Amino acid sequence: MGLQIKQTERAPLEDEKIVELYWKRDEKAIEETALKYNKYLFSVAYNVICDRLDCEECLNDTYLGAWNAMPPSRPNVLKAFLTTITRRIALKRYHSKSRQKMIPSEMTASLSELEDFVVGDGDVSEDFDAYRLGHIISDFVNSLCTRKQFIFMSRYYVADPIDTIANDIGLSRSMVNKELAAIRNALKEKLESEGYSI
Amino acid sequence: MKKNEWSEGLNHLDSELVEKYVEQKDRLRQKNKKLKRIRLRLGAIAACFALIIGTVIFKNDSPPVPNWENALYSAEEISNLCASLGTLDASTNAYTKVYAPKSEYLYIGDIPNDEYIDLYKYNDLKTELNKDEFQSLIEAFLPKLENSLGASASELNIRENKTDIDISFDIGHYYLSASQSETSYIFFMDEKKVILNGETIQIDQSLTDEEIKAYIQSTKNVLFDIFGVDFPDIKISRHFDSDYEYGARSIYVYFYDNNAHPLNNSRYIPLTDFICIEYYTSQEDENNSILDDTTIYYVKRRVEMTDMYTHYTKTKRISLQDAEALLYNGYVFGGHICKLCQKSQKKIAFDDYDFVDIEYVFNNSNKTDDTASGIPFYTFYKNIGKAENGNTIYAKTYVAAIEVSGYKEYFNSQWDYHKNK
Repeated sequence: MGLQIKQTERAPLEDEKIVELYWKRDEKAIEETALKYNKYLFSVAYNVICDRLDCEECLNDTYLGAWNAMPPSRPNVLKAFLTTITRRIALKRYHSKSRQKMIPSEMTASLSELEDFVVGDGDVSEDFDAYRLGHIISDFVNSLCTRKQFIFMSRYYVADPIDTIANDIGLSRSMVNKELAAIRNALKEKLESEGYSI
Repeated sequence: MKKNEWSEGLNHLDSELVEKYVEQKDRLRQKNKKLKRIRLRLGAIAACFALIIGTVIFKNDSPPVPNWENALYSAEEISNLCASLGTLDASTNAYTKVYAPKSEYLYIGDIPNDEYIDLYKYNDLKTELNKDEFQSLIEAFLPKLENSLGASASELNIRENKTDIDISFDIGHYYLSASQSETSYIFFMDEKKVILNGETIQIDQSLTDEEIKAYIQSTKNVLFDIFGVDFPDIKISRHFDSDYEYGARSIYVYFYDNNAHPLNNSRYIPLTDFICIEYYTSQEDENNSILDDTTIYYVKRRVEMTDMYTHYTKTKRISLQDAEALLYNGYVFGGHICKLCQKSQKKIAFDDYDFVDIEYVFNNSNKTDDTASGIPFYTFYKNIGKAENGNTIYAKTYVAAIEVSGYKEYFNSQWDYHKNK
């Protein structure tokens, strides 16, 4: 449904040129984005919602989101910008669906690892400040070494499977699990110190 | 905290962290691909050309095809010998396309005058994996590496797999990895900007090969000191493609000992120990000819290459005239195992080809039988036009440089196969 993406075999455009197309309101921008990033964004969405049809809809929403955001946005790293949009859209769908049933995705697995301090499926509390939490998590991630930052982002931001992370950084699965456990312990301490009830 | 709240919080993560993550992921993927590629290349040693049943041109006035009844190999055996390498290059071409702005970057050598030519045999030698030995090797050069990079190494992460052992570690912001297989060690470092002993590792591609050799002396000395090696020879190879507009996509500089094995003379990566620096750039800038992203490989063999690739026999080299007769009749081994290649590739008239060279093609697919696996081929190059970036496109195809029997029977059967598909 929605946008029809024409697949071609030519080389993808550079990010700057794609962003320029968005700014010129040229619909080719979406075609070029899909040509370059469809596969990657599909994997981001699939890690979260684990359903092909839902993923395709997420991607269509992502391209629409990008179209609406540029201008005024001019992202430094288009791939990161698109990752953020796809993740948000996929998570919205995930939380709405997960109220009715358990979703067998990597996101479910990654959230369950955090059950020491992340529990319950209810709505966001009225006094909850997402910006503050985002700031605290950012501070925490910035305090980690490069490798741990990558492991955190892979597992808890885009919900990559452990095996994928292990392959990416050339560590064993057990080593990645060990690093994740250390990250979770440190994060728990950080959240406690910031007043989050665990 | 509720799951929804956690997710909402992550939605407001610092965008720079997301940017850093995707860039890091791309780099790691690229690095892993490279490592896989060099493992494959080392495994296959050099050539990645396979059987081809390619028809290049059929001319009514083609010269008669030579017939060697008592040849060491049949055409079918030659094609089988090459076939296992085909998976490395998934094209469907009966000829390979090579791109170069100038013909000098094809690195065409002289055709030898000798009447006889050497064949080589691959022996499947392996040494058991040994973690302690590997760790000692890494630890031996670690202090000098730390000193050159100006930081201390992290703990070594060791991963034991079925057919290899990987060790990875950080030195400051540099990420390094190494691998031990049954035949080799590969030390691997791929970074955007490497500073060794205070000097940025980079190269200006506007320099000539000779100027580059002079320029990289200090880098060479540092690397030799770190790895405790001393190689007398340098070879440089510039790689061009059809879309990069600003010169060579990458430049490979190999430090090695050309005399350590007769096959080191082949134009691809050396058989014996070597250090290679691949210079490339992720910045596309027409006013900047500097390549300052680098991948550094140090390859140390665990088995004697002189025992692994042994001289098999000498055999008569066919004349260039005979090779041309085979070329004009389409009896070439061009580039791929796909039996349908003839239907997917535009035919090229090689009758006025531009260059000819000799190149060895190897097969080391666990052969244990008593046959040669390093076969010399005439390689013919034909200018077939310009790529979008202005580089000249050369079609390159292969004709066995030794006497081979049964050309007509074998190729006719292949052409029939194609026609029936």
